[in-house]
Amino acid sequence: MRSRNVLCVLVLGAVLSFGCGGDDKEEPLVVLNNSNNVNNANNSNNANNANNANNANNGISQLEVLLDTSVTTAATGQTQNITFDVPEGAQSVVVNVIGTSPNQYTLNSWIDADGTQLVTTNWVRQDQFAPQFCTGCLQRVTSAVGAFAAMAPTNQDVELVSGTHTIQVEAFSVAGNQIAGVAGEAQILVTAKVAPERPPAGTIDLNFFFTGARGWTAETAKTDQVFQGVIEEVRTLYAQVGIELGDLAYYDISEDYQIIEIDQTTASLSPLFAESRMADNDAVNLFFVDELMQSGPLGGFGVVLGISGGIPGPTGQVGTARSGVAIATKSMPGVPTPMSKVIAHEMGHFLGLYHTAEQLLPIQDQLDDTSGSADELMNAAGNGDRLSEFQGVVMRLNPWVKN
Amino acid sequence: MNLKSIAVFFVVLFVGMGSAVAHHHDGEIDEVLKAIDVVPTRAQLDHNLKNAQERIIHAMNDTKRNEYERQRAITLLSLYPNQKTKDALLEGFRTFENPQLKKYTIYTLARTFGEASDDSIRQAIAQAKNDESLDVRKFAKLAEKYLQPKTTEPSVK
Repeated sequence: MRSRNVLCVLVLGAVLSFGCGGDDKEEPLVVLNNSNNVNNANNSNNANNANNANNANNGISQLEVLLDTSVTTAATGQTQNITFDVPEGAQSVVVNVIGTSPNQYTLNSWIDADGTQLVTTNWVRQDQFAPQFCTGCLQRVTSAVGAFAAMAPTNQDVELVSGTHTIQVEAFSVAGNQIAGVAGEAQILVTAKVAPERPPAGTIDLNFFFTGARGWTAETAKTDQVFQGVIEEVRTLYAQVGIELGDLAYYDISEDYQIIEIDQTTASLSPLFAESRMADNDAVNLFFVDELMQSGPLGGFGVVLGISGGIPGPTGQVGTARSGVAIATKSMPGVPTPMSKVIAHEMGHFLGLYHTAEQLLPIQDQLDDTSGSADELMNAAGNGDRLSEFQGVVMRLNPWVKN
Repeated sequence: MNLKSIAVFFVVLFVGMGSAVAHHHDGEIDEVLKAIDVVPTRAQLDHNLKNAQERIIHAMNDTKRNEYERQRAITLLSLYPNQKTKDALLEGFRTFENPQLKKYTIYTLARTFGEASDDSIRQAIAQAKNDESLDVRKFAKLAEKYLQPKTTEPSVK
């Protein structure tokens, strides 16, 4: 598989091309600059962050495509071993699996160049909290319908080692408590963020998609005081970890997406996220709908205020079944969490953050500097403000954040 | 203190306690109702919350709770597809004046009981389709499809 490595480059403002480099197996590596002109990089009063912003101005990170290929899952749902080489200086690696809804995808294993098992083999069939979380994995992963991404590192215990890494992809379906492998094709895209050090600041571009919910359209939202106020609050929340909002693009999509119902067979979330294909830039997609009804992992459903396409969401491609974050905008008296925090929280998931403590489960995130307290943005109610230092590291290591 | 006054004391105490319980804001379930992006499993609820279903039904009817929490309670009853849920939701449909609650009772009834829905649910949906609230009518239409055989999600890459 390594001979299939193709490098493409992600340049600020450029279209993310999944197929760049095509199938040309012997194409030499090409590394393009991922710097993103963080001229006003940081509004934080923190002096260190200000210095970091200067570094970001120099464009300290580059994205390299390590692997871009098609794979086949057998009847067991698993692929053969797939390898890719992580270069020296790689600060993070993201493995994207783009499959077909309604199948679920994850990594069946990930072993680094030192033989360390980052993702525990067969976790989907063995972990106590599968297929929601691999709690036994050194590098926690989850699973997702249609498209999936895993990033390393997203905690302090994972050291990204250069050299040959080996993964297996798994496709499966869930019926009741039973997991069944699914045979088929999937696309794999592996990217690395390469930099002399972990990026201390960055910028994230956003695409806004409007269904007409709350009366917002691509035209009106540009000047709507409520909407712009919400975005300003998100800007403030992210400034605390040295991330600023960059280019903001506005799009209209069909009113048919105002009410999103997600169940085992008739989910309207995947087609919603797939609408991001109309965007022509490398930005995180936010979809503003009226209401969201999320299915439970083992049946039932519930009203929610936001949904992320993954933890993290797919990187390097738009238009997948998981390419975005959906936000319910229906105004409700006494709603416990303001929309700005819902957006910041769901984007936090999309960039790789887990809940600091999962609700009703004995599961905390894998970070040493979070506690699960109510003042944290990533607590399950999402009504806190605070992002920890390492949460900031994780977010800035994600390819959607340009440094 | 004679026996009569002791008896009166305990009656007053128990009535007072009963009243306090009836109006007690169930803090333990708050976390579940305030969650912004999580739907628990029934096992998680039952393991962590004693009498979870009853408490969710109580939360659904608790006028001191905000609209979002009550909507969460209504929809989370889908985890308990039994007669108690059906009765609570049908009663909610009859009594809720707030269309933002009413619409979720009819939707949850249909989505929870699906093709097996009985006449009472079908009649409630028919009634909801003529409700004065556009939102209730819209959700009644969404609800109707759960009474039909389900279709498969379109394939999206």
